Amino acid sequence: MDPILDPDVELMLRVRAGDRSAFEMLIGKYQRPLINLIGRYLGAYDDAEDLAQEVFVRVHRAAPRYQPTAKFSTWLYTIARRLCANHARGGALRRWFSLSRDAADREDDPPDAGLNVADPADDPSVAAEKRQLRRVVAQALAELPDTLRFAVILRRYEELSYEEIAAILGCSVTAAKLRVHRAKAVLAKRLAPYAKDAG
Amino acid sequence: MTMTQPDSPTCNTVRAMLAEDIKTRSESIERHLAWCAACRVVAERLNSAWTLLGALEHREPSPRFAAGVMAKLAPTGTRARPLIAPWLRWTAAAATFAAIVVVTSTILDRGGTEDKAASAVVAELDLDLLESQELLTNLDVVEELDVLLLLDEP
Repeated sequence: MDPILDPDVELMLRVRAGDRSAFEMLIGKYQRPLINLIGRYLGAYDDAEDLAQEVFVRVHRAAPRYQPTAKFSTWLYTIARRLCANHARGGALRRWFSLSRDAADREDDPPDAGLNVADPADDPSVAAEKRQLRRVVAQALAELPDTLRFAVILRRYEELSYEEIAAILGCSVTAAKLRVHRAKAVLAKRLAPYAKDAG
Repeated sequence: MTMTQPDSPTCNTVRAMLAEDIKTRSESIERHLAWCAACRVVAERLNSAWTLLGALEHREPSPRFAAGVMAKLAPTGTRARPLIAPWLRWTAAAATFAAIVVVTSTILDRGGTEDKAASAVVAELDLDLLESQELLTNLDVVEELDVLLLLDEP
């Protein structure tokens, strides 16, 4: 896709020109996918919102130098991938985030939030099963090697094309396909005991 | 076991293609799956895993998400400076490395009875270097502290 035709690129060009409302529109559009992308990558949502906010901070700071060379979402997810990788590497950064959260936030977000959500209408045993399945799936994702994990999340949840995934991961399209395939193979093995729940 | 039929892709080819979504599978792959039970099992496992990934919920952002971004951006004039200037970090690392090279070569020159004391000096300097390296690998953390300060502001 020609970046010029991407409506989000148009918004970003307005951000570059100092249009605050355009920035707010981009936040409104991408906050949810970003939080979920990051939460799934990290295996927990404790730090996902902080990191997603940090992605937008980087976007805004880069705005004066922004050049539309790719789709906006490709650029955004590339920033997210780098921040996630830094976060995963830095235990110190993780501690820093946990210290920065206030007590009210902690009460709002129980541990493993987002992976534990249950439909109130569910039977308690069914709800417990669903929670268990979510934990297993989150764990299986979290145990994937870094590059496979990001590739499969982008494909499965964001439904990005292999071309976009390749651009975000900085690899060839073939390598992006291979990563998704390998991730699927590993997940199929780990989730095989739960396959009956898939239907 | 790898099975083939005339005009049909091999099992290996089919399994490589199974990474693709079902909607993009070619007819030849579907034909192969129709008669090859082994590949069908592989396909079913992959599909099940793909479906199971949908068990994860979508999380909604908090209502204060956008405000949080703006708060992090707003007071750029009061941002704290990094604790250690980048040039100073690199200078410190280079100086530590140079000191180790000098001390090590001096110790090697002396040899003999001074080995034990010299080893202790090297060990201590190595520790310094290791600590410096740790600092260097966490430069991002140091640079991010300014954001922390902003977050703490009312």
